[in-house]
Amino acid sequence: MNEERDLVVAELLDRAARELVPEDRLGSVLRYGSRRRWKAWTGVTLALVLFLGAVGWAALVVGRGPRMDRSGWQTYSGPRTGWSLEYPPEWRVQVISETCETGGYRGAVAVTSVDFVFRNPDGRTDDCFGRWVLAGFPADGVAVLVHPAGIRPGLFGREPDTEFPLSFHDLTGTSGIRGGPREYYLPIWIAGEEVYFLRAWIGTGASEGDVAALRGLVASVTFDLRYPRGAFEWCPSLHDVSVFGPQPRRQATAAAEEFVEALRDGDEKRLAEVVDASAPVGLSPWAGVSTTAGWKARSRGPASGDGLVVFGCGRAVATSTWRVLLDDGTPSASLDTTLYLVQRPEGWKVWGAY
Amino acid sequence: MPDAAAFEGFYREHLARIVRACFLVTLDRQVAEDVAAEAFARLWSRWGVIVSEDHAGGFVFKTAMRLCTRELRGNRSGLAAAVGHRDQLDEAMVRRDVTDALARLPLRQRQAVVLGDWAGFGTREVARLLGTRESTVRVHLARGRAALRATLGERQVDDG
Repeated sequence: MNEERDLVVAELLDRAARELVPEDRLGSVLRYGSRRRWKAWTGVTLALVLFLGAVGWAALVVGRGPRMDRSGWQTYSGPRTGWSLEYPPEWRVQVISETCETGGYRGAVAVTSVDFVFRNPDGRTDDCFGRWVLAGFPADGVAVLVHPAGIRPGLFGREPDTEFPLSFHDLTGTSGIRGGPREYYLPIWIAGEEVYFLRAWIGTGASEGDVAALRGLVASVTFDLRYPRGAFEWCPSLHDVSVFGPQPRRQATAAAEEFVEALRDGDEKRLAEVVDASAPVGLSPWAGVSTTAGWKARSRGPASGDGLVVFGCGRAVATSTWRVLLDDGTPSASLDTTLYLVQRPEGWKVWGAY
Repeated sequence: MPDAAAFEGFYREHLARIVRACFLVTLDRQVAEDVAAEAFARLWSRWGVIVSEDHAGGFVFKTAMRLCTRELRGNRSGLAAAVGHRDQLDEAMVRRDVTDALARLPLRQRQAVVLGDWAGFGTREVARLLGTRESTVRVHLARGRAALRATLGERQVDDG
């Protein structure tokens, strides 16, 4: 309370106001207050979303760095490599191999801004999986080397698939080479498989222009993710594919048997009823399927772990596909055929064979 | 969800006081009721965030005073209109004289006198509610009281 209060003035003021009985507006106060609360929360939420979006965008822009103008650059894409990169025309390309492969991708290539040849400790220049000798790497040089990862089953954990386009910030720096260039690497994962390695080196005296070009080169590295590929020439649409029902083993096997019998009889009409719409019509696409007497169909379960399907048509198709093995009755496994089926609303359909 | 019943209790307990304070500052009953309603609506939009009733009282008084200031500064003719309305509001001569005297006070002095003398807030609280310094409030209070006494004369004061 105000100990200095002027009670005379207070009384005078009170005389002027005491008989004022305000109108009760509680309803409109609550409605207006609620609207203000809603607007305030909406504003805060919107501001937060905009702020986070701006931060994310800025992080993306900063993380990706300035976009390098790659007009006039050349493209390296070997015969059926399944991947490519772009490089400044004055840089040197060292094709290490066009045959070594991992996961269906082929070839290894080094691109350098300076005159330098990559060799392994034996002096070979065609070893895709070997170590690289960096002795003598020019201080003003930069280099990128793309090569298959080789097969390293079970030794390393699985990582998410690599997203393209790459950024130089995706690469991991190593402890470096004493007195030599800074070293970076990136394992490339596709369809759950570590297929390739991208390595980069930056000399201690490399120019900003060459480093920027190196970043642009890394951003240009692209691995072909289009399906079908590998063992398959077509893949099934997943539009109305349903998850496996309670009896996939029996029903899928019955569909496979129907498929083989129609194929053996040359009955295109019956065949069309059990072949998926994603496959070409007719008998010829299935010429490789053995229908000799004595075959037996054996259900082999889902194809989610089948590398052929994962690589050829993607993991989503693999997890929706059921496999049935056609055992031709001979001891040779190489003559057996695996049929790949999906479950449509109208029944099980064969979409592939290998 | 905020506690509507608790807010309603607070509203009914404090509404008349807030409206009367606003009336003494704006000298316009309609403006006073509108300002009070908006101050309570703003309080309701934060009800649950503002936890104690003490804080709620301070919030609604402070908001009301700001809105009064905005109304009067935003509408210069408001003061004349308030003086014009006084006959409708007050039939008694005393009330008319008081509102006349208040209307002649500068806004800050009027707010200081209403909050300090009529509402009974201490100098520190008045300074907080008006967003100014205690020393300034003291000056406004002294000048406002003196002006009121001079305008109303010792007769009314003694009658009171």
